[in-house]
Amino acid sequence: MAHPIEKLAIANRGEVAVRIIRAAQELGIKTALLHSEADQRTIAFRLADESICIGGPAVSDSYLNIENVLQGALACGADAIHPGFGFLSENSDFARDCEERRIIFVGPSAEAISTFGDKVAAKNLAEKLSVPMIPGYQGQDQTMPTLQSESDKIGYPVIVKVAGGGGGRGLKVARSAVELVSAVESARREGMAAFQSDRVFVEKYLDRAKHIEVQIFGDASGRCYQLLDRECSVQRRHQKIIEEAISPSLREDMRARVVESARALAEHVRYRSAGTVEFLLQDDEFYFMEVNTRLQVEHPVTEMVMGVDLVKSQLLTVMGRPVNFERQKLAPRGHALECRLYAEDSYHGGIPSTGELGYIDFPQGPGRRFEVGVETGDAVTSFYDPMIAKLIVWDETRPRAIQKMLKVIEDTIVFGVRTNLPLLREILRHPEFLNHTMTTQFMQTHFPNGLVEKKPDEDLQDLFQQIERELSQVSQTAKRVSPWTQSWNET
Amino acid sequence: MRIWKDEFKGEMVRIIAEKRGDELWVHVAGETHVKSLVQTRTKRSGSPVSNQITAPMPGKILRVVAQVGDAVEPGMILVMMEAMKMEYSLKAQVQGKVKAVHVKAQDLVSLGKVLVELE
Repeated sequence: MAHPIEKLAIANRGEVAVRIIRAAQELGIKTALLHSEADQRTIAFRLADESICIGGPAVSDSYLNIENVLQGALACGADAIHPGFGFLSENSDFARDCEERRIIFVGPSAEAISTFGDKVAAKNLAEKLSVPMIPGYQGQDQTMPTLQSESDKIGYPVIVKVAGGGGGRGLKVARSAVELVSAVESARREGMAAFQSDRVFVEKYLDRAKHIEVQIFGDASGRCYQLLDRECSVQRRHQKIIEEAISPSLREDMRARVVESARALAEHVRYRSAGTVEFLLQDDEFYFMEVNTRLQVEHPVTEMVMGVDLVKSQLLTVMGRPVNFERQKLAPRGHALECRLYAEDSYHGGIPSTGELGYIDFPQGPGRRFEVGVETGDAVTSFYDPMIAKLIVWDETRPRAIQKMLKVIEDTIVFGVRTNLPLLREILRHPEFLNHTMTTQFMQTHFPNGLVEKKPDEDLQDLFQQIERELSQVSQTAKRVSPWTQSWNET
Repeated sequence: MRIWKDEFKGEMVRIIAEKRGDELWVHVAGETHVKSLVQTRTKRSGSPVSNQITAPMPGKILRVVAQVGDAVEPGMILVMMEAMKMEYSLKAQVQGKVKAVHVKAQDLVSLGKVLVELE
């Protein structure tokens, strides 16, 4: 049954809000951005047909506040909400509340979100479907002695996770019984702050595993597709930095098993919309990790190699319309890479850098795609995730995609905030990355403290001096008309 | 902001420069450089070995583990803070004794704020 959307509310920010606004506008759907007080200086704010401020800068006052988001959507007369990723995207209460207020939630059913959102329930389901599992403890007894004795049984290192968590938060590694106590405390604290959940489970920590994930999609007719895999082994503190599709490390027989088990899981719950099943791959075995019931940050690499549009497909699906996957035959073409551009100082341990953006430029070209949330004059604040853009490239082979990405990184210009561009460049040149043997330990092993800043060499110092000289001449002759006067004094 | 072409390391390259406040931002030969235009040296926070524990970024203090008079060893957690939705443990770099604690849980701190002093 078709039920068209006339106006879509976007309950998110940054580059993903831009991505959703554009997809909706292409489908002829009006957009309304629900934004916080801190997000008026963003591309999404300027692009949306309407915008409604739903609260203060703190996420608990705006993007995580269900009532404010719903009120904002109702106020602008939206008939659907796209939650993007993060924030309320995997909150089943929110999806249910949307339903109750007769607003279409662009995503899976509330039921699917709660099934997979509770990581323990998700594991039980995967186990039932014979998907290989990581040894762990998921019991109701949450007392420390039990957690300790179970961890002893599993064997250290173990990882402590909050049921209901995601996005790298509430995950702590413990290498001994002593570390377990603080890991559990810390995970519970982060869990309470971010997802109002303090129930933890413990599992074996695979310390040389690759992160492999499968894109799943359920269409309006109830059919479930797998759109092959991505590899996201380059992570720091469990947050991904570089993703690619398809994984260069998966043997074809292994790939067939991994993607089919993901599809079977989706089909079992009659999954609707976009989702991702995450696995770890170690010693030629794969293990189920979790299901993310939302669009992923790294969805563009799948879009690039599979020739699909996942965001539009999500919108078409909730409107009861068919997706175009069948005709595409879903064969991968070439190789795609994504680098997350973080406002983080590569040279000082990756500390977040905030401020007003100056000149910013992305080197466009064939097979280059830039998902960006901010432009010159916009502010990068400490209220939100430091990711300001995603650089995505496609080329015929992995080595060529890497070459292209290196060029993109060199020619991308961001003034005003420090970025991780220098670090991204070093990662892409690392032998382990080039021969795709990197594991989830890659960053910790090779770049534990980011990069060491080199002193400017003579050539660079000369250049600085030359520019400074010209600057001072400009200020002396400021009253004269000069192409310098205006531009230098603007900032 | 200005964009031009000039010689750099023996090659003609595109150069982009912008003065932003007290800083000069320059993009040349595939890299962005930031040069401070103020002469007075500002103290860097989080220097490798320090008797002061400073906030490495703006954020919220979650827990202060250190108490005045505590003996500390390198690597001991003194303060836990939250920034950008992540938790960070600030550890002692040196052996010593806690001389002063300048923050409490829930305090919002700015970059470089001295949190704990050791002696």
